[in-house]
Amino acid sequence: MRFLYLLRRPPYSGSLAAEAIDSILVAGVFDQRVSVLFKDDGVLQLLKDQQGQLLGHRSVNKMLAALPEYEIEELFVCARSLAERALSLDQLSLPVQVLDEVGQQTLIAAQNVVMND
Amino acid sequence: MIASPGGVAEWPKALVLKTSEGRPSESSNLSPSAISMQSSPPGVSYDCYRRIMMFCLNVHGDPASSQSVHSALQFAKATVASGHEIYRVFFYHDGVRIADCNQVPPQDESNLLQQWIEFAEEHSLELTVCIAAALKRGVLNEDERARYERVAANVYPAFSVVGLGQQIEAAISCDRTITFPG
Amino acid sequence: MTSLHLIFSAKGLRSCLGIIQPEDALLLIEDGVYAVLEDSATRLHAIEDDLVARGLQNLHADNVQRIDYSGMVELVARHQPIVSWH
Repeated sequence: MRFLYLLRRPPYSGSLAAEAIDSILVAGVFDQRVSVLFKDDGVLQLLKDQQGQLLGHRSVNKMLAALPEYEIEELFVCARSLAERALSLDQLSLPVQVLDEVGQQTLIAAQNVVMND
Repeated sequence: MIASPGGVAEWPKALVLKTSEGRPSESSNLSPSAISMQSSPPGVSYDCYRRIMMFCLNVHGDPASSQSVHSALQFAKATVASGHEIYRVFFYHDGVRIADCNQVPPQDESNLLQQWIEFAEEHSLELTVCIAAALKRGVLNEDERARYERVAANVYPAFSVVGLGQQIEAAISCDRTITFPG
Repeated sequence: MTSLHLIFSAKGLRSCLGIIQPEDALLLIEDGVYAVLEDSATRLHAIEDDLVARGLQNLHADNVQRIDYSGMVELVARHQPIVSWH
């Protein structure tokens, strides 16, 4: 089955982002085809050099770094969300594919399940 | 046989039934050609088939600060009333707070916990809360209370405390996964 | 199949509008029904109870089809995947 995690929350609004990543990792264990789309504030989860421990949290970018180890390598970001925040790919901590709106349409249409943060 | 856009050709026959009204549902997406692919008994023309579907629900919102526990319940009731089935309800994030049996809603507000429990009992529904999310929010069953030496367990017994694997397994097993994000 | 987008906030609608396909269905639910105040162009469904509860029952919006939860069940059965936008 194809699972897409649609992540739109910033990394440190409570534990929502971290808990969503836990769910992604479990989906990876179940041997499903899992992809992740970072959109809106969700792109902020990818920023380099986070120090979540200052807030008593695990660093979300470090949690995300585990995804490739679970063979979750289809990581996408919304082009518009990056542009709105004046972010470029070299500021992100993982290799991701930038998708325009048509690319996101195609990605979503191909899924069986879309999960949320 | 080529499946129609609705995928009718793939439907197991045992799961195909006529709507109770015996007329096409207005929102059915069955095309006439799709319907004719069904093997009706000679002389009988079925005007509408519906497939029983299995849904699983993810409920993420805090019962006290979001509507998601309420709307998920209304959706679950409509699902069962429509003849479809709920495979599992998985409460995650702040949604796990619905399982706390110490909730005392004000008298002029509806008791959502009670409503979920009654509905689940009536339809043998599986209500589950994520163990990690629940522990973090102080929602503990007796096993966890003992393990972490806390004062009291507070999970209403109708809820099973389970791992995240149950969320993924449900999504894999179901026709549709619906999330109420909160 | 085509997607069903469940819209739980006006912000959620703004986020998904760019990536919906013509055959997709959009359903406003919970606070998402407030989006009827901003959008008079997109073809939308909305949960009647959520409109009425918020005092939006008399709003005249030709682009909005009001449905109950059994209508939502029908939409879910007809679409895949189901995408939620908080």
